[in-house]
Amino acid sequence: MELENKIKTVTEAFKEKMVEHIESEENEERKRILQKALDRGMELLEGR
Amino acid sequence: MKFLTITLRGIRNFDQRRIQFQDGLNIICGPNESGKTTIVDSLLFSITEEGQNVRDLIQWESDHSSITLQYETDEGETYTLTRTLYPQEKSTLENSRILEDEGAIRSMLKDHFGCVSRIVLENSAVVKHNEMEIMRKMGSRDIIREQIQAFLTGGTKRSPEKVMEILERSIFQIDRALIDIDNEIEHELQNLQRYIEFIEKYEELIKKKAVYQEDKTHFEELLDTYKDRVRYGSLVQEIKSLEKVRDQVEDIESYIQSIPFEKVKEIEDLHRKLEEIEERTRTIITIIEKMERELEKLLKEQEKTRNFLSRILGPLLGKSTSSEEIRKKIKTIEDILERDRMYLATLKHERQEIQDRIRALEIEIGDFRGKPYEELIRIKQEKQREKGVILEGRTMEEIATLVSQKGSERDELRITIFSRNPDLLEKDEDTVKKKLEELEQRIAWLVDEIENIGPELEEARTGKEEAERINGRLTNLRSQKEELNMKKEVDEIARKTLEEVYTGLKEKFIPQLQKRAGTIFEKITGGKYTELVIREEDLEVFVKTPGRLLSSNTPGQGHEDQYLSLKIAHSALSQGTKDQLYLSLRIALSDIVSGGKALPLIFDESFYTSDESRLKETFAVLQHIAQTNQILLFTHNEEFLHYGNPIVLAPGG
Repeated sequence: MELENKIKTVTEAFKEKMVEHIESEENEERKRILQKALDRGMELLEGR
Repeated sequence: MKFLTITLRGIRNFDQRRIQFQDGLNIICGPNESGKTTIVDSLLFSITEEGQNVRDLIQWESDHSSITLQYETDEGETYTLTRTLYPQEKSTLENSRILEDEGAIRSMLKDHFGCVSRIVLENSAVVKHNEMEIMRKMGSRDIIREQIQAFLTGGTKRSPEKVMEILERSIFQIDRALIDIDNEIEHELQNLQRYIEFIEKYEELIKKKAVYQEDKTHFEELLDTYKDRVRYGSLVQEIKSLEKVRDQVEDIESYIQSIPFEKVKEIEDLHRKLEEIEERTRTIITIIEKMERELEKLLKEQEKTRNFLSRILGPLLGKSTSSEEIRKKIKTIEDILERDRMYLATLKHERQEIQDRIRALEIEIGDFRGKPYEELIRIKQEKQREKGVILEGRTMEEIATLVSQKGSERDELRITIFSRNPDLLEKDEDTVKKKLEELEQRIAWLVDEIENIGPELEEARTGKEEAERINGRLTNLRSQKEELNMKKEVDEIARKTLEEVYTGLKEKFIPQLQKRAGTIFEKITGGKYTELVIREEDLEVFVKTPGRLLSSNTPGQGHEDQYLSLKIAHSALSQGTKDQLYLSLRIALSDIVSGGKALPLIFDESFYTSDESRLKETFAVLQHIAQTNQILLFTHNEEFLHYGNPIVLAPGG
């Protein structure tokens, strides 16, 4: 049976989304916060 | 997609073992320690290169360890994947060409298997030890939800729900902490009000004190200069006094030197001599006069002799003088007179000389004229006494030394004063002393003022320190607040993004899983159950029977459009149906993981506590599934061998 495109995992999708936000952000301070949010999310998802 | 062979060299108990797999259901049977788990680990390691420590797979003292997996893709292409673990780690993927680059191999494997994450594969394509039994005992609903979550999360240690819960809790705690901090800030601001005035006051008093200190220092420096000036003036006076003493003493000594003792003595001697000469002169004159009288007499007598009567009467009168005698007497007297007159002339000459000398000496001795020698002695003694009084017990050498020393000191002071204040040297002593007094008064006043500032300054300092301490705390609190706000923002962004992607994934994935699992479930149950519904909010799974729906709370009774949850439907669904449902979901997950590639399914001692009837049902399902997916079923139970293609493992590998 043909399936739609392969599903990303939550971790992959979260990381992708956050990276997208970071790269599109021009303000350095905001960029820093977004990076921290990415790290925070990854840390929690990975059980750390 | 199917596995063809796996060859293990120097892997745990296997020196060298090649296992060939068949299509459909493969039963790999062996007792404990026969290597079943090793084969599963090797299969998963080959595809994912993840798992336990690689070293754990390497056989002890083996000189070569490797795993070679041969598989066939859905397109019918055969690939050979070799993972060498020892002596050095290396991987190759061979088809028509050989790939050695890890990145390229990984990409190719992802293409073939759909996923190279071990955890995802373990939660989809691998059914572990007694998983089915655990599912039955602990609640299949939770396990299914966990499987779906595990798939969605990609094998994260925490589910997205749990993570969001943690983030929400964190945000809540931060909000509470922020409230506390705001309260504390408010409290400190109120405290600060009481002390803020001390800051200004302190600055003011410090400046004032500094100004006073500066002035004091300046005036003290000026005072030193003026003191030096006074000292300079004193030295000048002292030197003048000493020089006066020296001059006076020198004058006295000069005066004493000038006393003409010898000349006066000479004058006195000359006077005595003069007196003698006068005496002698008088004597000579007397004698001369006498002689002259005598001579006169004799001359008269001579005259007389020359007279007749005298010649005749003479002898008669008893004056018998011969003329010769008279002449002789006259001669004698004349000689005597000549001599005496010469002597007198000499005396007169001498007297004149003496008088001239006396006059000359008297001119020379000047004011001392008329003073006797004893007088001079007395004068000398008096002067010497005067000298003694002036010297006051000192010697002239001492005076000279003092003049020299004080002179040096004076000169040094002069240079010092000139360098600091050139005009000061020109000022008179009274002005200087007056200014000195003024300076001393000024300095005393400044000292008092500085001392008076002390207590007030101390109070202001204490207040200022308290204010600073409060400010420090406020800065700290504000910093903490900023940090918390940032942390909150971070958590909010993470939570929001996670919710967004998770919802998106569920919206995308759940329908696919639902559809795929439903299709499989329908097939497995022979059309008894036609639909599967997975509730997005909590991943609760429901089944739907065709035309007969079961109530969630009332087992056995039908209610339109009501769904039955797995757990609650224990009485409605048989265990076998639940097993079928679970397997359908696992297969559907596996399909989705691989992108529809029908991965081989691995069952690793999944049914060892199942009873016979259940096993029969399960194997019937497995055989059905094996029509589309290769199955590798690892077991120690030899009775399973006849269910599929048997592969026997000997003890010890």
